[in-house]
Amino acid sequence: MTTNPPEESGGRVLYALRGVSKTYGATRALRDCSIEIRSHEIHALVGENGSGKSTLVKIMSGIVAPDRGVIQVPDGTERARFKTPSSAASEGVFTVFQETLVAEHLSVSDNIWMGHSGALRWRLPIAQQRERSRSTLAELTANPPDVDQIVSGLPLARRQLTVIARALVRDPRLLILDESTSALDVADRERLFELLRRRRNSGHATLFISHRMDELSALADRVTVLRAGASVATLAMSDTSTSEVLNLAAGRDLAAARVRTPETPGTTRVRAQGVKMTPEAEPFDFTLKAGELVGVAGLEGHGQDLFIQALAGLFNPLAGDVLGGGGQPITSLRSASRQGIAYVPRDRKAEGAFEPLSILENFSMPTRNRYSRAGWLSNRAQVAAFNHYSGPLKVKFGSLRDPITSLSGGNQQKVIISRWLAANPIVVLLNDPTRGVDQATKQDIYGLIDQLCAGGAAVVMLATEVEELIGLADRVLVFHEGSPFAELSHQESSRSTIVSAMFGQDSGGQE
Amino acid sequence: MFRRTFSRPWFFATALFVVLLAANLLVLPSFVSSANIAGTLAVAAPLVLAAMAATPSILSGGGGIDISIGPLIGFVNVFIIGVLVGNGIDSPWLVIPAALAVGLVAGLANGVMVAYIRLQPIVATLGSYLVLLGLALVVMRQPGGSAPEWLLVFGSSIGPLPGALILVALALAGWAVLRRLPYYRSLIGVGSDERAAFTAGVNVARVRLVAYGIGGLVAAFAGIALTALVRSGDPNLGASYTVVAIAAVVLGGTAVTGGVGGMVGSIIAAVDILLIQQLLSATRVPSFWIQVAYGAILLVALAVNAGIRSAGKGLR
Repeated sequence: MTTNPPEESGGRVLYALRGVSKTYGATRALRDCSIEIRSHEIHALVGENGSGKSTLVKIMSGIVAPDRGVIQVPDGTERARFKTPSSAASEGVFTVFQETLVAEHLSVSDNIWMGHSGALRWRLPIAQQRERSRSTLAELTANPPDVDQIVSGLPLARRQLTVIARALVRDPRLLILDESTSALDVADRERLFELLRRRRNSGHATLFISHRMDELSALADRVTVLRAGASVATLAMSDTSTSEVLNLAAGRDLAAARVRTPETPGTTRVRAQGVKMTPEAEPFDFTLKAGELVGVAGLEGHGQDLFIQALAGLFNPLAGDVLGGGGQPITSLRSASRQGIAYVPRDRKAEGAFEPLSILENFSMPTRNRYSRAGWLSNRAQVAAFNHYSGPLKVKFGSLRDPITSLSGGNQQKVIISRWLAANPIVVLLNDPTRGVDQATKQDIYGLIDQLCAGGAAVVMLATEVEELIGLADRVLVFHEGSPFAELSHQESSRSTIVSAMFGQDSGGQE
Repeated sequence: MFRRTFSRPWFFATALFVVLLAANLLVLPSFVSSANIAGTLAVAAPLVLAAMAATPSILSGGGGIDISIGPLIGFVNVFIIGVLVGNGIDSPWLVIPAALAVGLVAGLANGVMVAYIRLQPIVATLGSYLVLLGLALVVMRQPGGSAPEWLLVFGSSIGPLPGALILVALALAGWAVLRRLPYYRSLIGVGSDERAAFTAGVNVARVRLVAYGIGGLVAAFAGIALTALVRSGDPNLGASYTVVAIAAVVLGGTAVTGGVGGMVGSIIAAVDILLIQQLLSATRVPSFWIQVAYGAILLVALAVNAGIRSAGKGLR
């Protein structure tokens, strides 16, 4: 738990966050988090999903204001916040975000210099802008894009080079790279790292976030580990090992969310053969058997979300096939549901709940023809079905006629889950079903999943929070860069094994 | 080279212009005669300027649109005749700045509602549409008054030069200057992707505010041109310009999603619309068919421009 950094690395403190907290609604994204970034250093930030990495980056970039705490800037004074990205930039901080944020209709050079000048006068003449863009891109890649090319025609890797160049031409004292090198090929990445080392030698700082532990250990001087919104430790890279860092990021195993006894797997329900989620990913196979509960994990954007959508027919893999139990291909939500596959989407607001409609209407939406008699919806049949399927979930509501928005988030989720159960699925795909719901609801949902498996259904559950999978899942597929990096059995899965695999490491070591 | 030209946003409007010009010359050879040209341009100027005025807000993206352009043009007209000239203020050195100030303030007010209060642009400017329409009637119950002598040159000729061209040329020159300023790149940046622009350090709200302000200012030019055309004040004239102006912007290749297009396309498209009008009336097509033709051409333009944009993406 050192916050006193070792002597040999870095220089004086340039920027620091001290005691920073940030709450979004009921979620505490950061709690009393502190980090010091020094001159002459490349500082890695490590943490799993929801550890507060991106909130910390947003605070440093002037996108989010902290609720409490201060930001120290190089002259030693403190700020309550950076008001905008532009004020962060004038304090010397510039960020390259995970998302490749380009203005498609501007040229490469105009994208690089966007926001640099005011409204009326160029801070740097256009000819010089183009020249600097050209030379910066030439440093970043052997085959740079034409600086006058409109960005809308460029592939992702070139766009990513453009946004990195945007940061580099500003020559910020603190450059933040938030997982923003994933589209680059190996050669360009090496060039970038060389450039970061040169920046370090000239006294600048870089805050580097990556999902690749090998990169971090090769590049970073120090590492700060975040866990559950708090800064757990800052270590010199030379004094530590990747397994120690990952163990810190994972934390101790909490009591498992719920322990269930695995069923004996039955017949095959879904089969994926040679499927590829992203262009660079390895193709892989997957089999789901009746009575099984397979957990799916991964850092945000590593293909696990596409995978569960592919099983639901919502995403067509770039290669390979997904087949239902009967051997028919699954290519659309319709073909999936015909084969008894139900999918509970992740974003309840956007994909799940029909907001103006009542609880009952929301429940019976996909199965309504089942309750109709001679073209009329039978209210009694709907209510009976609702009570049957939502009973085990203990939905709390006033009247079934109330709009679904009158329920709490957890109860809305229960209604949506029971909606899909009413279709009597043989495979249930749950995309982060406990996202944003309270503990009691989580327990009800776990109980339901347990019952489903006991009843012979096969369940795939994607969870952002690692705890949920430990103890509950028969096996856990951990995705890294588009394909499963590890498949952990019920016994093998623990916070440290799962988190290590998320970062592409074989084992987090034994504690 | 051809494919590059083809993928320009204004390609469709320009091709249509060539076709319509040829058709007009065929049907009505006299329409370009020098005797007619000043009058034709005087009719064209308010619409051309209205289309230019409607462009920047749409370009700024985020569902940006200013439907109050038409009523603002009408309000500037009755403001000049009813408020200024009606009270004895008829010097061009007072009338023109005052008219431009009215346009600018109205545009900025829309900009504040959209960019800072974050109202939906179409709803916010519907509000100002109604306010301006009402205010025009407050200022002037019914058509009347007369425009000062000097103002009429914008509807006739100054020597060999059609007066209407002066206002359009001024607005266009202003746009040409703007295109060279850093502001223009910020405008296209905000219109393309406001998050990209914001994180790069662009003051997104101010860029949008200014876009609506420019629209209001150009609408005031249109109001002056309209006053020169009708030579009096009429509280009911302006509103109809909104629909045609926005149709012209879209026909001219400006994307309703923002970031693509510009005033030149809107000018060409506004001229297209007038040529359609002229062609249909010259061939004695009943006037209600004109509306149908507008609508049909607008739909075709939307489809073609969307096709051009996606084709352009592939080849660039």
